[in-house]
Amino acid sequence: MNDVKMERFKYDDELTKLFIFATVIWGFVALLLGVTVAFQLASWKVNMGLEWSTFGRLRPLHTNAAIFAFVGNAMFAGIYYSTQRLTKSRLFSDVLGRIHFWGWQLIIVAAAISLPLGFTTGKEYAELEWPIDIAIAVIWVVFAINFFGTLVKRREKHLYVALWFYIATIVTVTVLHVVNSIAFPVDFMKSYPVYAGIQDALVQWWYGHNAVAFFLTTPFLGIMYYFIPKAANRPVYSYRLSIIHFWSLVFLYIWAGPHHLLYTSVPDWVQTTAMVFSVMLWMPSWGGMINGLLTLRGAWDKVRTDPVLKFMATSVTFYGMATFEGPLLAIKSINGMAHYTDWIVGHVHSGTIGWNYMIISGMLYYLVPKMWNTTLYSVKMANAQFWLATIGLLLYMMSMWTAGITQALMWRAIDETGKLVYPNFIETVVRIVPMYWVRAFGGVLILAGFILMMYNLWLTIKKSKGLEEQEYMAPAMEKVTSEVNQTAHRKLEGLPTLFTVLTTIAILVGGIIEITPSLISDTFVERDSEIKPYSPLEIAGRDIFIKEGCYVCHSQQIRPMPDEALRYGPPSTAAESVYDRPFQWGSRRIGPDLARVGGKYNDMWHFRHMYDPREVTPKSIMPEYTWLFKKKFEIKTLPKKIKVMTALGVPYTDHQIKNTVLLAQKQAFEITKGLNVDGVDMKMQNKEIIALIAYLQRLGVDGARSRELKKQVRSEQ
Amino acid sequence: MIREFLLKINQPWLPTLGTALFVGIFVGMLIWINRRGSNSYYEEASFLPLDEGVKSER
Repeated sequence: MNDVKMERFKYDDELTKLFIFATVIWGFVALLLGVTVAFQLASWKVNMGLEWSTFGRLRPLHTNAAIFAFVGNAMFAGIYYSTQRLTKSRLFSDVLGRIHFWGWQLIIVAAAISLPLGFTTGKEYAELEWPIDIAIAVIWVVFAINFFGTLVKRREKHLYVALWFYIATIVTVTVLHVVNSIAFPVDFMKSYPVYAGIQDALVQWWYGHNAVAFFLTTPFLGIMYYFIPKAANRPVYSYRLSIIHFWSLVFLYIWAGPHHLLYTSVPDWVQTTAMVFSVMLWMPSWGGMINGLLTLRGAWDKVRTDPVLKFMATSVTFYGMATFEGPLLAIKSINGMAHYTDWIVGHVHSGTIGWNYMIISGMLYYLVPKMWNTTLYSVKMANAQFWLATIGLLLYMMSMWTAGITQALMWRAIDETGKLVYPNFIETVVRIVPMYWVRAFGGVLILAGFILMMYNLWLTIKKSKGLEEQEYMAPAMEKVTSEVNQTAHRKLEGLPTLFTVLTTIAILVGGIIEITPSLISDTFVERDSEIKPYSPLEIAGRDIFIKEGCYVCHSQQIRPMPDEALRYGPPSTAAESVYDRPFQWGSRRIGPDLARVGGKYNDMWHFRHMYDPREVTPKSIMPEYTWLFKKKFEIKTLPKKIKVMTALGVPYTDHQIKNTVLLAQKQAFEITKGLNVDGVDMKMQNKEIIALIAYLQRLGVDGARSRELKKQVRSEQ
Repeated sequence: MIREFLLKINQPWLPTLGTALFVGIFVGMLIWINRRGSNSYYEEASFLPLDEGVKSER
């Protein structure tokens, strides 16, 4: 018998502790922002009349804080803690760990400053501007080096299933972030994406959906596979099932992104593919859920008493519910009703609160007492948080289901004469405002529970007498294994590089098939010579539209449905958004679609509407944008913007490129002159409101002219 | 030539290929994980989270 060489080592738990603190702090910020934006929809006065605190600017801050700050830090805490123990090795580098931690916090602070100031790319969940995007890429690489470095120096040959999910997370987030963030900078905090129109939409929602998949889901499935067996002191229910779960999930998930674009001008085959693969996702998702829950077999009595297992069992149950609802919503006929409504918002929160918040809470209740060598200060307090979060979430989901289905049915209602029953969009908003109050109340309960957890964890740490860094021993890993009868998968798991390559191939197949043709082929977009690029002033106005986050409440994509045709006009075509960088199709209609708003109202209507929405639309919940009437639109950067657009392939004429400023001033003068008839001062011509009006009045105008010309040609024939 | 090839990719048979690919991988995986003699290995692997090394008494 060979002597086993034992090695001594210590885990770097200080880094995990840092990420735990960050998780708790940012979790509070994210939830507070969530409650704030929820109240803003219930009462427009909560927008507070400040440009930095409108719903349009705070909602992206809320989503970024929740995803990248709260969930991100929790993910790093869980990964660093479990990876060291699963590899029986200290992290590859303490220094890289600290660079990762402080770099990530700096990125979050940069986001917290830049988003309320209006620096945004206008792409959901990818709003941060290019310098911050580069910082994210750098810090992510630091994280990857530290993680893979730890795998290289591991003492456990076998890579446990949790580590596979971490590998998939690191690889896929890298691919998604890099591909979706490619942009041409205009200046330090402004850029335009290299993609336009449907290409941008496809890339963005391939990113957006898979950010959910590989940032909010796969790392936490790894955490589930580590912490549930650990907390229940039971092995994972079925290791075989975990293999099927992993490979099926990473292969299928990436295909599902375009289900966010059903009934849009994206090609039909892409939509159908996304729908079919979304439905197939049921299988691995539920396989994972079943595996997680059955790991608790024989330990169900503990679920009743142990807060860790209580939160984890609930999180896995919500994961099952959310991954049932997701494919359901991806079925075209159901999506036709649910899309653009609050049903989607409810679904998203059943995942982020039900799955992420719950599993993070369970993980924190496991980690804090263990790492500070003490017991939890109060189990009662943890139970109180559990019920506050569960009841709050149920109120949230039920109110959003009700609001979503109510509004969808009202939008679609057509009477026997073929007219809309609710032609005035605001009627459908007023009807669901009570649900917004219920949602906000649910959010307050969730936040209150979180504060209780913060207090509980703080008292737990306070009562700790401290712990000296513990030393561990494990056998050194032999370089050449002599084991016989290894299964192929076991060999594969011993080779992290090959495993990573195969995972990369699995996640790339779907993306390549769905997206590459649209990036290269012109056949996707039928060119229309009547669709012209935006004028310089309209570009300035469009940038204001993006800066104010108008896209979070207004879509610009009319679907081929009778009620939408009656309410907004003919369906949007791919050609109409060929110059849209970024695309602005939106994902929710808190206000009406704007794809064909150009010419629907006169300039004065927009002028009054932006100053006081309730003056022209009684009971509107839109904030007042009074600063647009004081601030000058950016004219200095316009020539650079036009040059960047030209470099990206937008066919501006030499005249437009050489006379950008002059053309913008001329158009602004004409608009203000028209408003002057109704008493608006000519001094307003350099204000942001004029540029915004120019942009809004352009929307859908070229498409209408094109249809008119085609009609004339047909009638002449 | 590459462009010409990619232009032709815009075809509805692609989803069918993707589905077939997945079904193939899935069935292959089912056979693979049920290989004879793999029981003890999977049993051992499922216990990995429960072992985080031996605490040194030093």
